[in-house]
Amino acid sequence: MTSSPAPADPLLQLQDADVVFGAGPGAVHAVRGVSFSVGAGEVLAVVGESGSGKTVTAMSLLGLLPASARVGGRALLRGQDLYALRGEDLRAVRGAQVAMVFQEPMSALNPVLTIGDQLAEAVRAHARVPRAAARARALQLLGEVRLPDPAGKLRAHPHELSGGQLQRVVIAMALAGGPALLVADEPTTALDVTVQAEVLALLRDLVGRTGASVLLITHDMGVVADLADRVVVMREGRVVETGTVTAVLRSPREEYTRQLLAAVPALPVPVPGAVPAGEDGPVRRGAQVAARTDPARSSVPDEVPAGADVALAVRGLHVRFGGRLGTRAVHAVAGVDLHVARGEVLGLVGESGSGKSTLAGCVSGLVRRTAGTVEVAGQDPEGLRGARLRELRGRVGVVFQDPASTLDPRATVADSVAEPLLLHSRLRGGALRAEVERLLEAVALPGGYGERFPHELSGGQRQRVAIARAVALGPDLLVADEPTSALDVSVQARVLELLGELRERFGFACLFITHDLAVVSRVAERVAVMHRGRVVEQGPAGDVLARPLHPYTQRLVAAAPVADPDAQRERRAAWRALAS
Amino acid sequence: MAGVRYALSRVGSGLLVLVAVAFVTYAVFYLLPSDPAQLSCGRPCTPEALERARGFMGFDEPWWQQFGHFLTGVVTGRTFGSGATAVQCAAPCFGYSFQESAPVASLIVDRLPVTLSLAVGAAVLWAVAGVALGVLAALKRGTAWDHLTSAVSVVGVSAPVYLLGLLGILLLGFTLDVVPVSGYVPLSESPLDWAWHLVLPWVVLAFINGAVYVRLTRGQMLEVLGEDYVRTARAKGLPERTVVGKHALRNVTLPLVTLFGLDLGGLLGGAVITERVFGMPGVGSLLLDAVGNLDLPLLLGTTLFAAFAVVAANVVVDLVYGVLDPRARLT
Repeated sequence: MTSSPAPADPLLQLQDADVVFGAGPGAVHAVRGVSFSVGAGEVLAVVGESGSGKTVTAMSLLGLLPASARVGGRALLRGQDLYALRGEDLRAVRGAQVAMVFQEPMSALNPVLTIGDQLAEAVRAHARVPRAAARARALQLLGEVRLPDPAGKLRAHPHELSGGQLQRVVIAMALAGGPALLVADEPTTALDVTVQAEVLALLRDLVGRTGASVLLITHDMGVVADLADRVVVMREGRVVETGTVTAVLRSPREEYTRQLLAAVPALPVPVPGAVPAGEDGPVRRGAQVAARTDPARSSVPDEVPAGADVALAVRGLHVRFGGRLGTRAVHAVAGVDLHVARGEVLGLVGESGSGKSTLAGCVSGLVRRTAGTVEVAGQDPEGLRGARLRELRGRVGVVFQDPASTLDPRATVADSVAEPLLLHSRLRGGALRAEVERLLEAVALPGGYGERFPHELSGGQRQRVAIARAVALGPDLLVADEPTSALDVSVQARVLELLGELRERFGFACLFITHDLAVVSRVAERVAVMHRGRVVEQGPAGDVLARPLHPYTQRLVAAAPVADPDAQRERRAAWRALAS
Repeated sequence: MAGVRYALSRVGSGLLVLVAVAFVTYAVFYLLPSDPAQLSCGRPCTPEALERARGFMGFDEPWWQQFGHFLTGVVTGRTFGSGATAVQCAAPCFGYSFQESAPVASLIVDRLPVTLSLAVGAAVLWAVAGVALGVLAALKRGTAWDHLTSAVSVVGVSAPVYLLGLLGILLLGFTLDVVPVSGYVPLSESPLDWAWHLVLPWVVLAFINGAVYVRLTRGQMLEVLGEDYVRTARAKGLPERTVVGKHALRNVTLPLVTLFGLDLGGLLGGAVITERVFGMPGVGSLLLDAVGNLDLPLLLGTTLFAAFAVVAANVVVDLVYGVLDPRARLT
């Protein structure tokens, strides 16, 4: 296999690790003879897509796999085999020598206990200290992870904190026992890209200060470039490639590694201070328009080129939630103008809470607006009733993020695709079946796939079914809300390719909503950037991503990690300058 | 601050529900084809005497005016009739039973200790045993113990209380002769006898009500043990008893609290069948007496009390829920 510069003084040595779930013919061999080592003070990244066995490997170290898992091989931590530990011996290692940071900070903390309780408990798990002292240590830990108002946060419950703040708490909890090895399982995957940059900076800082080693599990080559010293690439339970971060990212030996790398955006370092100060109104550069203030006080104007055939026009859109009986009102969309020309793809970029999904909801008629107009092919769905409204609904197709929950689990693939045709067209019987067959072929699911149920398909296949259903009626507009963010990068690439083909074939316009700059640079002709309910910048995709004008767009672009350690170092510095 | 507002809104909506229940109950009972005045008018009942009795009881007014008097009576008390024959019903007056010659409230209060002893004792027993057995079944999932618990709780869920009650009386009372089969001894008289007389009804009630708790606890526990925060708790090196007893159990009890409040509230309003089977003079048997005698004010009072018990239990549940689950305080 590969010759890897193994550390001279390894903290953890994984030897022929093997994990099988279940027994008999249904058994799943998740990890197959994996060996690697983590040096003292080293950050080792384990990279792979879902099903590669990377998380199972991480969980096996702390004995956190379900009871049906059988673990073989050895995991030597300073010579002690973690796999051989049981009961009290295992407990003594958990948190004290090896600690974990999990992927979903929202669910990793107990919702009914305070942050302080859960932190103090971690402190007291391995040290006989009085409650007050544990509490004081918890406060100190929150300070170390640079959480604002640590004393207040001690009394707070998890639902009162944001995702980024919660992940800091989870990291503080992992530090509580002073572990020698930190296992971080996709620590930033659930976070927004600017929050991800902050958490990565924190992790890098903590590694430097505590001297702990880190086993970083991730699917994101940008994160690897940002944090790791060495890389292990895994696929289907086996190690594909091992090497230093520079070697693997710069000159990967394996085709699979190259494929993973290709998914990461190649973005330039944004130049701060691009906005000329002093004047009023939005900033312009060619077709690119940006708001002058940060945060923006109003959305940038939307100019429809003369003679353009418009598939979607949104004018002065406001959506407000709540605000009754003393509850706090949320101004989710605060005055947005945008359009999508016929056959065009507009990428709508923003982080969670920016209002992009609410806007999509208004366009597809699922969310009621407070003010403004939405016109699909020249008609406002809110003014229509009955048959006219149904007819217009047929002209908008929608694809959502999670294909597993948008398909009826009891309906076959063919039934799901046929449903809009039954509602909106006169096709029945053989003609209907032929049309469904044609649509499934268009999304590369030919033959017997129609008779299958959603649970018999992979995530990517399910999303293709959802796309076939969305384009079944030949819509004028396709609203795609994060259609690929639940998918692996290689699957994502295929789905995006398919969307492009279908667009050429059916000629629909597309409002493509995503938080991922790599995706938007690949599919969109124009980009609109949303921040706090407003469009802060819009223009041609190349211009906006390469030379962002608005400070928020600049932060967003700079925060997206790229798969090159040196370039990433440069971007980090730029991001820090922009964020401060 | 948010907690206080939450508590006030719960108590306020509870009071509204009670007034609405009182109104509906009043309206329904007024439709009954019976005349309380007729029953107490004496023989021979001349039309004049009947009219006098009606006026004395306040039944000569339209029913909605009677309802108004009833509501004000709760706050200020009422006087029926006038002069030497006047009957006082001190505030809070929930009506006056002319058959028993006593205010309804005092009749209920007299019977309350019995129902309270029966319901609270059984509730504590079934809650503790139900949750404990459910947790054990979840932790020992798939073992013989798990299957046994399941089988026994199916019996508890499906068997009617009179069947188990009578079986219990037959087996433990008569055949084995270990526990008394009926009667009630006040706690103040002899705590030991009090408990001894209640053992059989407690066990029967707990068995029937607790079976659901075993099954719910087991299911909830299995679900919660798969949650991420349980994995986090294990990963930080907490002993398994803390993981289960603190992290998991608090989340398991959340849905149980709601169920417990409803069950306990229902029982406090009178365990009608259980009280009858075990010869307990509680609120439930008072209600049965009221039905038998067509004692309308008493029937109204006991029905309202049962509603009050359920509503009060619900308010308490909401408040406790707010303490147990901080997320509930948001709404």
